[in-house]
Amino acid sequence: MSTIAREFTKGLWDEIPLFRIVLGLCPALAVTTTMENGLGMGVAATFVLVGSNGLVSMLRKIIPNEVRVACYIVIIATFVVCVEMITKAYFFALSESLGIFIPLIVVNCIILGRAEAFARKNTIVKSLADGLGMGIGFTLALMLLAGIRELFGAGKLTLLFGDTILIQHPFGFLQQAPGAFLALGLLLGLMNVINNKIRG
Amino acid sequence: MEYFELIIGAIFINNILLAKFLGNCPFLGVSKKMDTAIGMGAAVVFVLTLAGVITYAVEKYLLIPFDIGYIRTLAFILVIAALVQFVEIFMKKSIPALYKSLGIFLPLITTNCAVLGAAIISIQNEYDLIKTIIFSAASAVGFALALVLFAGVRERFEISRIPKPLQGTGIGLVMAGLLSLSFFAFKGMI
Amino acid sequence: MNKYVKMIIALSLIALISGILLGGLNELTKETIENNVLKFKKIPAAAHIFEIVSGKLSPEERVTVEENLLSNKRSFELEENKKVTFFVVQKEGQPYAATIESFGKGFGGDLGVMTGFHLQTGEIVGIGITTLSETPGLGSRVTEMEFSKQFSSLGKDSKIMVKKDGGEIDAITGATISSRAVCAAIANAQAVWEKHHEKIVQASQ
Repeated sequence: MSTIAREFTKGLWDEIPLFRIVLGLCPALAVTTTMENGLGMGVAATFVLVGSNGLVSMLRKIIPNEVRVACYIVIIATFVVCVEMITKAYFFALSESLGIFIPLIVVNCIILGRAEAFARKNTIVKSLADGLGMGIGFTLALMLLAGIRELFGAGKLTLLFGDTILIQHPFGFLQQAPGAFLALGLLLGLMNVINNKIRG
Repeated sequence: MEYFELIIGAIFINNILLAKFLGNCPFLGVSKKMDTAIGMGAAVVFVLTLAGVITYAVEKYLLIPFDIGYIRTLAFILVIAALVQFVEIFMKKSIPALYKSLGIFLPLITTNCAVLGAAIISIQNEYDLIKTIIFSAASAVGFALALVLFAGVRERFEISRIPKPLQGTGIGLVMAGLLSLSFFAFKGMI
Repeated sequence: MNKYVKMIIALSLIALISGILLGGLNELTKETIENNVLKFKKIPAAAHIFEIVSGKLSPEERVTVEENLLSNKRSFELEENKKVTFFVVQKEGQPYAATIESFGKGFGGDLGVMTGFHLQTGEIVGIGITTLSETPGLGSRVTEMEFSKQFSSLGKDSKIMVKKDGGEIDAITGATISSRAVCAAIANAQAVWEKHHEKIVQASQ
């Protein structure tokens, strides 16, 4: 049981996507203009990640080695198209904000990476745990970056429980392209500092 | 004239990497040395343009007539994956030196958001074949340009003193941000 | 079993499952998606035109108007196999104007405009903005009543251009490109009306 828990928790800090495993940058920079978008993207990616990890693990003994990447791509793409359709039908505003980055989940290196590095060598339950942990970690990372960009860039941030924080004189440029790169870079540095302090 | 605007737009104003954020993973991975950057840039131009043409054909002769537009993502990524495979095989036989220097980054072009992204954008904007080719090639050139510029900058800070937490990707992103800012200047051009 | 046969079976199986799953999901969501695009992007603009024609609506009235517009949507054939959906704005219960969506090149991308044409005279009764990615506070102000009301009661053959280009429209200060885009879009709509108004009027009855 503890190994399963470990597979889950490693995605939340030690191997958190975006900060420690530097993958999945494209959506991270583009959609993190608001925390809501960050959350939406995170949830969508987690859905695909868990689904694909689960299915790849389930079929790992059947998929011949030579065509495994092609199979992974079909599996991942299938889940992505599902997400595309579901968001367009029931979460239209989100699908408009995330735009092209929903179909681009299919080339999110995190998902193909986990399928190749983990799901094909591990049991279904462990793979699901890995996927869920990484997915949630990714979502948290996105929301952190988005929170900073929204608060300091647009000047106001509405937290999930309704409170709004306002800031005078926001740095508008955080909401634009250069600001995204900068914010992520500095945040990465900060994460490294914190990690070094914790891990001594 | 319209084509000229399209080209300038794709390379400078809406640079696929610095403004649209597509193609970041290889951007930070490959740009450490100038030669790999140039090689990767050239490979991406080739693959992206070809992918643009093939996905255009897939859309026009397969997805629209059979009304299965909803699997566009699936169809396109398979096309791109197959295309990269062929390019790999072709390159291994004819330009083995380049093949070796690109190493793992060549198959990684498949997961380069810029390729799939540009293909989808061409369809969304309803470009005809000529515009698709021009847009794809120009976008790829924009990517290559950003890549090469970045490699040049990065080679410089190999020898600078950078605070430890920021070393590697951190400072890379900060520099990318400044590079992106400089491209911002093109916004008022057209 | 032969290696290649195994590969083909595996790939085919996965493709089959994928196909069934996606095909099924598509059937389930197709209509909802189509309606979403109309509901969130086009109907608000058509409702805006309705307001211009029949006066301000309360939030509840607006919901009813939007539902009516959606359920009464019509279409005509633009060219072979290309159908265009449009809405019929009513005045005092009778079909009054048809709304056509068209686009112009704005500062941040395509700017979508819904133009209402009087069914009998072809006069422009009003406009609404459907999609825009303009600069907030500048180009985005084309949605304001101050700007859009300039387009009401213009004859169907009038030349729609900003004053800078020799026309009658006051552009928004600091947002010439966005203002021009709106004019260009309306000009496109005029062209469509010119060519197809008989079909449109017929479909509106």
